[in-house]
Amino acid sequence: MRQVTLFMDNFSEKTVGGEMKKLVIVMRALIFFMVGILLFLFLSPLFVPKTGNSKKGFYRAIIQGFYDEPENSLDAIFIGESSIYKSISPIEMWKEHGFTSYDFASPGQKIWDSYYCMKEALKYQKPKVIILNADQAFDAKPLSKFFKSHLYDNMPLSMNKIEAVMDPVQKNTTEEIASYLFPIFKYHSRWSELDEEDFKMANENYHYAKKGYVLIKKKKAYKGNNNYLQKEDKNNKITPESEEYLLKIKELCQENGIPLLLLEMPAPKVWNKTKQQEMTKWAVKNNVAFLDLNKVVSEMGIDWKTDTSDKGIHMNIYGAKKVTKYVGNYLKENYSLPDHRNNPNYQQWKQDQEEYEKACNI
Amino acid sequence: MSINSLYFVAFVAIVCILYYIFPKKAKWVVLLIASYIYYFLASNKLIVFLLFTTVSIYLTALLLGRIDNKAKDKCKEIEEKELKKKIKHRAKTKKKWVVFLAVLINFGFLACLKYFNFIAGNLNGLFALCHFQIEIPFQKFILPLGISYYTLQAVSYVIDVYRGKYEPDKNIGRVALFVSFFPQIVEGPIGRYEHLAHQLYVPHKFQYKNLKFGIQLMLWGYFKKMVIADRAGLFVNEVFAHYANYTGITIIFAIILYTVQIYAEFSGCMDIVRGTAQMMGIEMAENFKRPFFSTSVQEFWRRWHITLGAWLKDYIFYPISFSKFTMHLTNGAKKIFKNTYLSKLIPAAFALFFVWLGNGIWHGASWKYIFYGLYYYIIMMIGMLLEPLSNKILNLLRVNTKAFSYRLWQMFRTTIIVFIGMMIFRSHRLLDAWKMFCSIFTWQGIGSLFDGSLFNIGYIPHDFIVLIVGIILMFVVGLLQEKGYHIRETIAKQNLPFRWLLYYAILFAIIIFGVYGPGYAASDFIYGQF
Amino acid sequence: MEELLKLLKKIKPEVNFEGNEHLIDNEELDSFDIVSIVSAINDEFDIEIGAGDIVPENFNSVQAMYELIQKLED
Repeated sequence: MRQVTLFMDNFSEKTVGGEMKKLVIVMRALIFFMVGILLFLFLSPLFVPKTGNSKKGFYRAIIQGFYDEPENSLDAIFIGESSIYKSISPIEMWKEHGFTSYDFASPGQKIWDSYYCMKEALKYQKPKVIILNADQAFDAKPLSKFFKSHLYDNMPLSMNKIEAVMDPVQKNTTEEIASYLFPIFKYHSRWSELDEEDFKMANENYHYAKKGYVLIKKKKAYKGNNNYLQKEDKNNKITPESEEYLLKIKELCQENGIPLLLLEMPAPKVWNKTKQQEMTKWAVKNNVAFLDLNKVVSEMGIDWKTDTSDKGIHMNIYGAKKVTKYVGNYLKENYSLPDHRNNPNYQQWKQDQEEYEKACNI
Repeated sequence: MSINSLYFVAFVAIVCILYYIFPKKAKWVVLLIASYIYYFLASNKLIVFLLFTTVSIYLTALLLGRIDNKAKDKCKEIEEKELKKKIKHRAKTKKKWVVFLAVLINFGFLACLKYFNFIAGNLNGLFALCHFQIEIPFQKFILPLGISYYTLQAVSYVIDVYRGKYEPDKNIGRVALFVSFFPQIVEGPIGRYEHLAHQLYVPHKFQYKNLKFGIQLMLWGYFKKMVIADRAGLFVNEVFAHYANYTGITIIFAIILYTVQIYAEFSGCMDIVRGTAQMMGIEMAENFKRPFFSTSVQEFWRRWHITLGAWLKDYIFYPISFSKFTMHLTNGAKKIFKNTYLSKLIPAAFALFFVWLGNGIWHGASWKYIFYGLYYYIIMMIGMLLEPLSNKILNLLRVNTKAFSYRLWQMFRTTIIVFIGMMIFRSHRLLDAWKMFCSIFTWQGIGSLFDGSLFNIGYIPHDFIVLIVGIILMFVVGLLQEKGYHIRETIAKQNLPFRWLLYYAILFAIIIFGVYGPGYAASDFIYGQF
Repeated sequence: MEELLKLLKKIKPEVNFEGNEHLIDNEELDSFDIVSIVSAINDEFDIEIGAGDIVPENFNSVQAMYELIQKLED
């Protein structure tokens, strides 16, 4: 009889008592609500643009590729913005030293985004070191909507994501928050252009063989000189907002017993003396390791004519190989990372290496 | 907080929960506070206008009641019949002045804020024509939210008290809630005190059916607004904005789609409003009864924006019809035309003129709207004038006026008249409407219907399919209701899997096919600006 | 009552007034009919039905109209 009442709207008072009736209604409403949420979660990724393998759309692949890595399989995780994913190539380090790493990064990312990314990363991985892009500490403005989308549209729903998009520092409106949590609100008008890939990749992660690295072959020389490290800019300060999250990041690493390394890529257009001093001061005060690659530009053998893709902001593949080599050695020496090259469990990395090398040679 | 935003949905949910949590005596207070918060969020300082209207009609009603009571008390003491009559008469005159003043002040605000520039502009034109060196400067007024709607509601209350339809309300909270109830404040329906105020005030016990039916009605409203109306708007906006670029069939299409848009939007908004109220057990007046099944223009206006038509009937048509002037007019007409059809027509024509003038002016401060009102007036007058003649012809030809095909013809005829009215309503100026109307008859561009280019204006072709499916769905629902089906009751009798499928389908249809978000700029409710 | 019925039939011969209790609700009488009826009643019975008296309840049936007239005759 109870089964029948579940399917009927007109309850007969004789068969079901008042309390029972109420309970059934409440239960049914709850189930209806939950099924609705599930449908939502299931349908949302269908509408997010699947730009995983197009030239511009590597963002989705970077984020999703991270989730596709087996749990607790990464030895190092790089977190930050474009200078990370354009300068650090994990496969190069794998070839050289045999440890595994990933660039869990998104364009323009701010330090608070990095904090939540780190929290999210530590849910799946137990790395032996976490590397954070240093330059992000000099910014106070929230990320543009466009760049936020690249990160949060592609991140699966989780408590961390909810916290991240609801953090007041992001200055998100309610509607924006809803659109990050349920991207269907933002992309619903794509219904007419959905294709096979949308359906195929809706609830499946991309595998990203380059491990977050974004390969750029374009050369556009930096024509300035090497004394950018003498330049001062009094406007560059670690903002209070940023420091708050730097400290949170430090704490998070301590809680997990993972050493934190602040890393600055060689970037004459971005970095200067003031930033270097400020960062060093903070790192010393807080007892955090800080590696500034701008100090070792000649040691790494960087040639500004050939190694940058945009006149000194980002590395291209030629610069990235040099930077990665240096960073790889540094990590190997300082954090005693293991060598998995002969471990049969890491067969996938060998395949990914082949794919990566093919991409490098085209 | 636009009615089709997540904020509104969240607001309604919170108010609804609070309404049922709070004890019986405080339930109406929850509604009042919610209404004022809603109004304040939308209009900020302009809330003083709402407050003024509320307080003024509350006090006016009390004063009217006191005048009445005093007169009655006096009459009790006196035996003389003549004196009694005199006292009664004096009280009535006094009441007349009081109510006149209250109505004048409240309409004065509306007129000042809404029509100042229109009147000033026309006066300036007149002055210039007469070579007067006067120019009234234009003012920048911001209209308080829903002033056109709540003023009508407020005025109906004092007039009804004046007429002795009910006693003045001693509870200012109840009057305030009646005027400001948040779902209705933006676009109506224009409620009546005797129907609404008590309902808002008494506590409603939680009933699952009310909640369910309310949500269903809201969903349907959102579907009409976001999927149909806003999508039709994409095409309509483009063609009306650049009507000179289009001819013939495209213009016809735009006019038809605009009619679809405004119906789906306005009636959709009403469904949202009524659904919101129903969730809390409050039943609001219906504003639409499937107007496109009307067989005459008169019937159309009894089924389209019903509460406005009813207001105009009760507070303009009847008072003018029974005024001394009209009585004289009737007697005069009887003397000239004897007891013919014309003698009946003349007083009606006189009273109706003001109804339609009022209808036009209420819609907006521009000649376009005045013409819009008078357009219907003229159509109706022609219809009434020709009625005896057309009846004769129909008899002569032995047309079966009860036949379905004849009714279909009547509906078609009415709809065409409505289409033209909507064209006037939507165009920027009267001249534009006229030019558009003329360009219908340049039959160039009929090829666009066949080569598909028509379907690309402001759209991707897929949008057209969704639009057409939506319109068909709306039509089928209307047809079923017309046949006497109660849609929600019928659904409730179905099995759970079907019901749930239906609910999810409509919910996701709104989310996926709705026009909102960064992809499109959601158009504001058309009727919100009046 | 008889008088009233006669009067109504004269104004609106096609409507069946007897026993009908939903003249307004079923839209058998529209606002023009009401105006004609009211002015005829006002003339015939020498009373003054005002705009305030025009509510559906007063015109839904002949009985209701009759009661209205009696009320106003007092």
